[in-house]
Amino acid sequence: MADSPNTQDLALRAIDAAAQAEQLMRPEEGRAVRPSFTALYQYVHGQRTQAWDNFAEVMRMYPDVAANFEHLLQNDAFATMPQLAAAAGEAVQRREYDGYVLMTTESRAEPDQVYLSIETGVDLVDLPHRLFMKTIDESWYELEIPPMTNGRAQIVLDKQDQAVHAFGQPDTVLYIR
Amino acid sequence: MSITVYILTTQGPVRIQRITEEQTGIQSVICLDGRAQALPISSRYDAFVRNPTGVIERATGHGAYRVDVDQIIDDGDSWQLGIYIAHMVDGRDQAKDIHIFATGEVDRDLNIRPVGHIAEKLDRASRLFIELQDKGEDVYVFVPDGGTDDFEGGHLSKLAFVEHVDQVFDHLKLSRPQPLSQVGNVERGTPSRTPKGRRFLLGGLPIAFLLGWFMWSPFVWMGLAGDGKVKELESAISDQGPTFMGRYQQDLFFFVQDLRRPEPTSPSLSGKIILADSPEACDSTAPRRGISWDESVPASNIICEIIVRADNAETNSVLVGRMAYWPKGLRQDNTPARTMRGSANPNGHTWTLGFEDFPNQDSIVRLVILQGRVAPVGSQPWYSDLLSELPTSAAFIAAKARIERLGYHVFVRDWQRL
Repeated sequence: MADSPNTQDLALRAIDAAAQAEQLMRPEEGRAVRPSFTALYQYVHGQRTQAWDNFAEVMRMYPDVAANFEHLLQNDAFATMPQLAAAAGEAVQRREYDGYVLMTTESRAEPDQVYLSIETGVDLVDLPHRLFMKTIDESWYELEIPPMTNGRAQIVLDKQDQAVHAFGQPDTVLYIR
Repeated sequence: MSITVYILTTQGPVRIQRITEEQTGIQSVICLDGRAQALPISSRYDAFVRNPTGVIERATGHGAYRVDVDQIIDDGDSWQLGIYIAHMVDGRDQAKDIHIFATGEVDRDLNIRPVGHIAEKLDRASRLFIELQDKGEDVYVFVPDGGTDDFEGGHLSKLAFVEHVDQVFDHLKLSRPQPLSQVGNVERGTPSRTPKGRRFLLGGLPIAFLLGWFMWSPFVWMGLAGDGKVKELESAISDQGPTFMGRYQQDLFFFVQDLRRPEPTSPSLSGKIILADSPEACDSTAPRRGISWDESVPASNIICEIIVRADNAETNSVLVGRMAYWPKGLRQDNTPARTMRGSANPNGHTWTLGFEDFPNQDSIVRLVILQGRVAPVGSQPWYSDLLSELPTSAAFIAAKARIERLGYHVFVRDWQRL
């Protein structure tokens, strides 16, 4: 190691830079793969049932991907539920917009679980298959909507599920696709 | 002492862990072992519970349940007999523990229909049968009559072949379940379900408070009806349940609704169809001609568009409705090719539908019009059946009755190319 403090600092900085460069060059283990625009398009249109392993992680990691994804949803969603105007302090349990009603109901059998029901009398042509949620802090969550019967579908969720928390926030935007 | 019910499956017996009445608004669901995991058969279970398709609500007066089971059931309907028995014995006390194993489908008349793989299902459960019998516990096995020639069941003293659910309860020496209509709509089931507390209140509180309490729900329902929140209104009335007081509150509400309901005056309908000589001409600015929808269309013409207007002769009411297009005829596809909400006009409503898949002799355009004091808002699930089913079908009649009960008149008109 060089004696001069300046030389030492310079060497340390060089090592850090080399490590950073190596890290950039090496494919990161565990890092989610960036989905292509084609994959996003196919996912939004139901042509792919699963585009990537961890939807929330990918949206968080690639903000430009999230922006493209939202743009596609804004064009093609069956229903878009904007932020609620009311500054409600309590968690929201019901959303109604564009002919869709979404509602959470606590289970009597398992009070730490909720039923999220999705009901519509509108879109008979093409049934919705996914619910996407974007929170105020740009976090994204998705839920698969099971096949509807008589315009209704229902999902059982743990209360602690982040998607349930996101649904309850009045400033969360919901997309049904 | 308890009654444990198992569903016989080809993967082994599935134990029903518990049945819980859930809030009325939810769909009945079968979950795995208390987890937030609904089994794929849940939607079929909901239909099995709910009136008018199902049999459980008819017997218990409640239409939303959660069942927890200890193993997955993937498919089929042979779980119905076990689930039915479990509902009917839920909350009943027994002198000793008994275990019931069952497979079979249950129809609307409570007949038990044959199912497949019975020998295989019994074989998969045989070890458990023997374990329970060795402990000296009562084991009953119910399978549909017929189709089990290849299974002897020699080690099962209480293997019964049954054709109707009544035979199950006769074997168990339990009273047969009765539909609510045959027991005077008195709530049955566990003590916790019986509104004894409400009966106590009837005798114990001042009349003024009682009247206020009695009127509160009808008052809230009228508010919902006045806002056109018909789905919420339906749920609120249903939540009240078939209790003693609830029935009177419902009767009062429906009586007032009948008084306020507008006279059923058929709307005046006028329809026009827009014709062109070729598909290309439909999209161009070339001249097109319109004729009445009651006129026959020359075979050489293409129908580009249909415009229907409904004028309301009843001034104290509003008209709303939807139009659906079925290119191959009603229900020939899973869903209509197009559905239109139409637009409100002074004293009426107009629907305009441009065709992409041009109508032929089989095609049907159905218009469903609702007439009421206020326009319904929010979700309206009854449209699905009203727009797709034959008017003589049970589904259509049920959907029509459902919305009429809430203060609306329903008018339907089908158009076909002449």
